[in-house]
Amino acid sequence: MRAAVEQRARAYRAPLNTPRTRLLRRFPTHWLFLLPMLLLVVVFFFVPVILNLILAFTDMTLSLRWEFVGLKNYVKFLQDPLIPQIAKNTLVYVSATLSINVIFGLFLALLTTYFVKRENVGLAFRSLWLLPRMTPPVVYALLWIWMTDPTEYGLLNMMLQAFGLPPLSWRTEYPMATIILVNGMVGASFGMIIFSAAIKSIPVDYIRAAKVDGASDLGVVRWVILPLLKWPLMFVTTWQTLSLLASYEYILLVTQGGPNHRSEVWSLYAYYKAFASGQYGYGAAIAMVLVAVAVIIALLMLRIFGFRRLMELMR
Amino acid sequence: MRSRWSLLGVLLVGLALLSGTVGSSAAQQVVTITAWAAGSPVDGTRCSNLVEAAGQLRSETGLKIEPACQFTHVQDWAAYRQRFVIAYQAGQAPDIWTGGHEEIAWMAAAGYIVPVDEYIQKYWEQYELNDVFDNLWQACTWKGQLWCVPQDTEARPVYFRKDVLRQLGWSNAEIEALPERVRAGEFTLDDMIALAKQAKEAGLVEWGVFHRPTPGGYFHMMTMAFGGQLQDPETGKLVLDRQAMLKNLQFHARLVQEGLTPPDMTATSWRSIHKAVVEGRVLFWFGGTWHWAEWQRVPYHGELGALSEDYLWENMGFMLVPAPERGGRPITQSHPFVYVITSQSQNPELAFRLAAIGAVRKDLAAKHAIEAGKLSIRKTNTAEYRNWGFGNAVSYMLEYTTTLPNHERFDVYHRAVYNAIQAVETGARTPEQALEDLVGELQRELGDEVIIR
Amino acid sequence: MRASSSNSTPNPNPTPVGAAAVEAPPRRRKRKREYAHLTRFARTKARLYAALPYVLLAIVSLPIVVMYSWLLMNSFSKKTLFGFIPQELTLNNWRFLWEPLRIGTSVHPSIWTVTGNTLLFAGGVTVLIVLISTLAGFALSRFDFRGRQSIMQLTILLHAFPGVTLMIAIFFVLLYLMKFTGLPFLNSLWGVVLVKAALEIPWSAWIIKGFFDAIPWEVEWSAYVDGCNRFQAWYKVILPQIRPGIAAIAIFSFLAGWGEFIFLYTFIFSEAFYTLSLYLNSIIGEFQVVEYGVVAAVALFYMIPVIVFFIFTQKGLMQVTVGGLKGGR
Repeated sequence: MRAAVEQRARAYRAPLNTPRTRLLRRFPTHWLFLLPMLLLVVVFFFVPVILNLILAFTDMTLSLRWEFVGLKNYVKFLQDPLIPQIAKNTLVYVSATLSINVIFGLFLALLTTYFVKRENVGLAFRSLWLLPRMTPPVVYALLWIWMTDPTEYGLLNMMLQAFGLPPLSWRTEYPMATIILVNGMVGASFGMIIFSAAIKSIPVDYIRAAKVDGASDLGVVRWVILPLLKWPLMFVTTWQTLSLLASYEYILLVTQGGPNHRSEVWSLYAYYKAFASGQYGYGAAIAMVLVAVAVIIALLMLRIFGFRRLMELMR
Repeated sequence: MRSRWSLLGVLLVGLALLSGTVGSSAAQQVVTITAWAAGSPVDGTRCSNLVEAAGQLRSETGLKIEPACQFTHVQDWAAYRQRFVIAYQAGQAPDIWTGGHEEIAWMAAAGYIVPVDEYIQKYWEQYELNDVFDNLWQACTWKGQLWCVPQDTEARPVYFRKDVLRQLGWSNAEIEALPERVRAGEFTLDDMIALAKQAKEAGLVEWGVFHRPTPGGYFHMMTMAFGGQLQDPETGKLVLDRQAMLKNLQFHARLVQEGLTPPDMTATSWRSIHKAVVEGRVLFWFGGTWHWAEWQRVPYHGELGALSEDYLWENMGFMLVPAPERGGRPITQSHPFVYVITSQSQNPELAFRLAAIGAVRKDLAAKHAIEAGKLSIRKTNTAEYRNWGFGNAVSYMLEYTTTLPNHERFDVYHRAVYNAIQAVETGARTPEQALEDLVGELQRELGDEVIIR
Repeated sequence: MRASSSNSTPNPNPTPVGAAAVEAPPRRRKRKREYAHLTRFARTKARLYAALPYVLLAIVSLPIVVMYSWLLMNSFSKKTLFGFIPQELTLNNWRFLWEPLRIGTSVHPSIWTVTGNTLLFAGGVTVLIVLISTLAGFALSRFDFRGRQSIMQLTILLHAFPGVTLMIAIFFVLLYLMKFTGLPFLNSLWGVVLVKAALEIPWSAWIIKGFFDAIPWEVEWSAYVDGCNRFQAWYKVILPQIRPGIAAIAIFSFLAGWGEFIFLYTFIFSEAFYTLSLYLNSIIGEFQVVEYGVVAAVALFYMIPVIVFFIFTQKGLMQVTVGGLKGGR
């Protein structure tokens, strides 16, 4: 049956010498299907990467004139007194948020899929944690702005008041902690979902066997589940490093990088240089570092995980 | 009204027939003039005055002038500026753009706006442009040409809480005499600090002195208060006066050290600043005349909401920025707002006329001044304005006023000074270190466009 | 997932897995019987131990519940106790639905124009993504050609690549597209639709390819037998088969477009093109002169599609999100 169908199909595709088929042969159908995607990818990924590289060598400002200045932007960058602080902020922000995302994500996944035996309860909590991610960023930021409001109307300050303490200006006192929590609360769900899927795919027998041998629940986690989560853990770590380095949307919305650059990270600094100070050339030079890091990490991911495993992890 | 229109129509159609050209549509020709304005929540008249001015322009020209004005409640002037650039590149720039006078330099240098000398001359008398203060035309000048129409001006007084002074035992007469003592140079910045300390130690206020949190003219006004200069009158280059700048930085460092100003002043939101000021939790506020209007329209006060003018007269006083030394000269600052005509305007002359009417016509100028708490740009004014108590009370300050330089790269200077003050207040840098950082940054960024003295 | 786990597992269990599985049930039953002989104290302890995960989850999830209930409560009340216990109910906060919001002497645009823009934007993003990724996914799944493997690798790499790092350069891409074509790529919803779609497409093409993979070849062949060419086969026969997949990427694209902020914020400057994200951001703004109640009401209004999709697509959400967590944070 199959062979017959195949033959007929092949017969249909026998070359007909019409202008259309000739065109198709020179420019086969699959490329036509792929063309729109490739076009967008070229215009909004490849061209920008190259353009960023070129822009970084210019003195582009609000007058939008192309004036090539060689390495001036990079020299400026090395002399920029803010850069050490920005680099430190970025390091703290990425590593702290990353640990929340991985450790807390794992904690949530274990609780909802392994410890909580009722499937629908686990699902309900997982959905709840997805909510911040599904919420439009501006609304989510608003919730945090309200929580950390410096007046007596903020949630945290209401709690302080309940203990008879004076209100605190949370965002200006603890800007770094604020942005880490803001991003962590969204980021944890990424790890949670990947790890939950991985835990669910562990054959029940493995766990039973461990229990039979007298392992406690924590023992099962330690000796059965964690070893099986090696690849998902590595995946979440690299993926989130990449996203965190580039993310500044919530920071822009909640603390604007302030006060006094205390919560300003690398990507936001580049953004401000370009879109607030109108120094596009310098902004591009700062962003160039991130672009390079992103390209390298992306390629590294391919190397470490291999194409096949990456495909499975990303499903 | 209708008959006048139809008469005009008939005339124009007749004219078109006579000349034999395709002028038949001219009678209904619609000219859209777009404008962008921006400012605080009470600056809406920057837009609505243009819309009102269209009526006059319509009857003058017989054209159907359709004004479309977009008002932005500005949070960050840089973003507002940026948007203009994008709109310009998109070929969608408005005909009229509103901004601080110091914007004209970079805009003119990039070719975004057109000089208006010709029009000013042409309409000098018709629109009573001759009644506008001369120094405001000065603020519109860059490289020997005029680039804008002044829209408003103001003074930046120091507000003080009368109720707090009363609680400190000051008599009403003493309180009312304070502005005069400042004017005479008898009450100095040191006295101001001492008084703030006294009020704070007496537990009457939480803070002694507040200033604006975002980059703004205030920070340069203080440099000038300490005898500094911002621009070299000969060459037009920017100037950094080391001595004055150091004093400025030291002044802010001292405010924080004495516990009068919070170290994170520059990170405080406008809302909480206004709230603290109107609720009397701060003694001195380096504000602007427009705040007088803003407090009456925006409910900053926790219990009273928007305040009545009576409340303000009762509790708020205003004075010039005191001189640093006894007998010195107190100052204030004006930051004239201006209308510029963009080079993408299809009808620059009509746009100019609309802007000129909107800014200068007596009733409109007075309306904007009173509603927004600004000062009129005119020498002669309507009765309503002349009877406006607050306007009268602050107008003497214009004799002591200063302005910002018109320089293409002023924005770099502007932000660098702000960053230096922020670094000093937060304790990240000592005044001396911050000055060195500032000098280094300005030299790097501006090269020979800045003179360090 | 399974393949990756089995070859990398150091087996902690000395007994053969299969054997343990067979033996397990009787032993467990025996254990249960043992429980019955435990003391009351020990039983309570065991029960507490079983409840512990629930308690822990409830505690860590409390902030989320509180945050969102604040939004709900505040939008309907004049005053609240501790932020989320309503004191005086009112609909006044929702007045933006029938009159423009006024702040000082400035007036915000009507919410309905803004909502229309947001729908247009999210709809545009959805249509573009669905169309382009079903085309591309089909080619990647059903054609065998040189370069296929590289394009798949590229897709996966681009999915991981954070597009926002290219913001400055994308600005110039749009600027020059606008200059050369005369079309409004900047300050127009369509320009940003293109950017947003481009950044999301590697993911959606990837997801939809999986759906194409699951369709048996026979289905496609039967189309050719009926005289279809490949476009017709794609359109008439294959696409109807992957409706669930299309629905999934459509929902996600729509929500991604609906929530979009940063690109709109950077590339749109006319209030005429404001979307709900820009509108809400502008009323949260520096002056913060609007009462929290109004802001909460606008935010809740903005959340409606999210809530709707969240309730109706629970299960699907869980399955598809894994790959869709673009921009992971």
